[in-house]
Amino acid sequence: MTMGTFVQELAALRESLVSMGDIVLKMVRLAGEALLAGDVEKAREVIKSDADVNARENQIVDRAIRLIATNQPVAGDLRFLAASLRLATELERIGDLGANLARRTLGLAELASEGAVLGQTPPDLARMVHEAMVMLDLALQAFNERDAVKAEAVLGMDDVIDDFNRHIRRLILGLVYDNGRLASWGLEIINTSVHLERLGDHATNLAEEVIYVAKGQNVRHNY
Amino acid sequence: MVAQSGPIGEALGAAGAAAGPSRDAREGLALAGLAVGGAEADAAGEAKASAANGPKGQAPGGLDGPLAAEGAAFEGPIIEAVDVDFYYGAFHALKGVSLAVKAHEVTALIGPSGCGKSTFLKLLNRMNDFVPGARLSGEIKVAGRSIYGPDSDPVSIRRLVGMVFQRPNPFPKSIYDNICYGPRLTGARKKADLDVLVEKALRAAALWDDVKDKLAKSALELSGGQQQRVCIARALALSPEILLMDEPTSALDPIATAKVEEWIKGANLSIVIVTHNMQQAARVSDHTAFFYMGELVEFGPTMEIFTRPRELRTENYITGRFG
Repeated sequence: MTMGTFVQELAALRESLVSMGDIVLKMVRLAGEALLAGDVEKAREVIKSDADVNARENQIVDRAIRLIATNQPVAGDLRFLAASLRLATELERIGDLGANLARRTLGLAELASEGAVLGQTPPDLARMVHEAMVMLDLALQAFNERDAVKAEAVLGMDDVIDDFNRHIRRLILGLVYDNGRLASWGLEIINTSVHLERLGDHATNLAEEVIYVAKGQNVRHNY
Repeated sequence: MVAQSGPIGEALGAAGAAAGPSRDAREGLALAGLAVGGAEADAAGEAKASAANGPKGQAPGGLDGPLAAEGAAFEGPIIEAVDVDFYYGAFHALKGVSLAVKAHEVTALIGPSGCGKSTFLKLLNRMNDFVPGARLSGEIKVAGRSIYGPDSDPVSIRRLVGMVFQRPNPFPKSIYDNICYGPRLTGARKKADLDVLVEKALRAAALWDDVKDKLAKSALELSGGQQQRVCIARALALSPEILLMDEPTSALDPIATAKVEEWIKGANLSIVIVTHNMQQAARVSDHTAFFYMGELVEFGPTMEIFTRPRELRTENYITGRFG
């Protein structure tokens, strides 16, 4: 592979990651909207799109491995290709979490249709959806723009979403303790909160990869 | 600081280069750890005179000579270049190069053709001494001693600093005689001593098992990779503290290259290697120096140079985007 071709392939790989990022961002946004509005159709749409994200992960990983094997990259190229393998996996897991959020919407709708006792959706859940979206959007912007400063801003945001998760968990456990018939509903809400908390973790992981590519600093597991 | 102005050959009071041996011959003599450059008679004479007196008080030949012990005891950088400028006539080949090489490490010199890396390498055992119009300023120390100072002795320097070249260039002699060539010129004569020395040198170069039953055969009958390891053994026979390698595997196939690289990684020797093969530099070296247009652009641990170089010019070169 000539250097010109290699540079084009790297650019194409970056575009594939950007495109995959756009797709999972849209999945999470739709999943959040479906959750908050109880929109079952929208939730099903999100679940359907997960297969495409899985296929994209495989394509990106194959492409990155081929470029590593055939070009023996070093320095910034090597960091980008090594990070691409992890970024593709992170994005695929974000897609999974989008689909899982959508499944919680379907679960809550099913409980409602069965006439189960439901509690009131905690307001903090909507704020968690918002925080997760902001983190994910900023992490993807940081990647698209190769902006380590934006990525560093993402790292400081994860605590907020973790606090929301702890708060919701305590709230729901208290409600279920008082009223055992809320258990199924409470489980769906707690799982939803955990999915959102995990989204925050994956947005953090994306940001850490952006910093590694930009600066060569490994900041993983520091946050 | 020691500074030479005017041709180095003149500064050293040596014969002019016009009557000197061919490039290949100079390389061969340097391989044997002897004087190069001026008239062959001068070179041989200088070597023999030094051998007779015992250069810097050393015993002749052998892998365990006092020089090696002296070098090993030195605790500072084994090579230290301070503000080195070098000119080929009007051409400014090296510009203010300062570099400290640690003992018992492999240091790779990389950079595009004409960047000065081979010039720098050759300065380390004074192979540029007889290049017409060559001029040096700054200081180069080997094992703490200035090698361009008024008291420095090129013969003992080349014994301390061996060299292996791009193309395997064994002498048209037996394998045994190739290894003994330098030690004999420095006074080693006893067959028993030479036998021991040949075996040790060939073992050190990872070649003994390949050639132990055919030591009397011509070295030219060996494969390219084996010939290059004969050249390494020939250099090692003089117990160098430092081995300079100028693109030592560029003429070898991948299998022979791997063997030479394995030897480099396993050798408990200070090695400075010039290579155009970035992967080779990354594989075998502990530190890497990137030269560009006569400047030392960046010098640091190889792992850092190849994962996160500080300088954009380094990044552009090692990733193939230069220019």
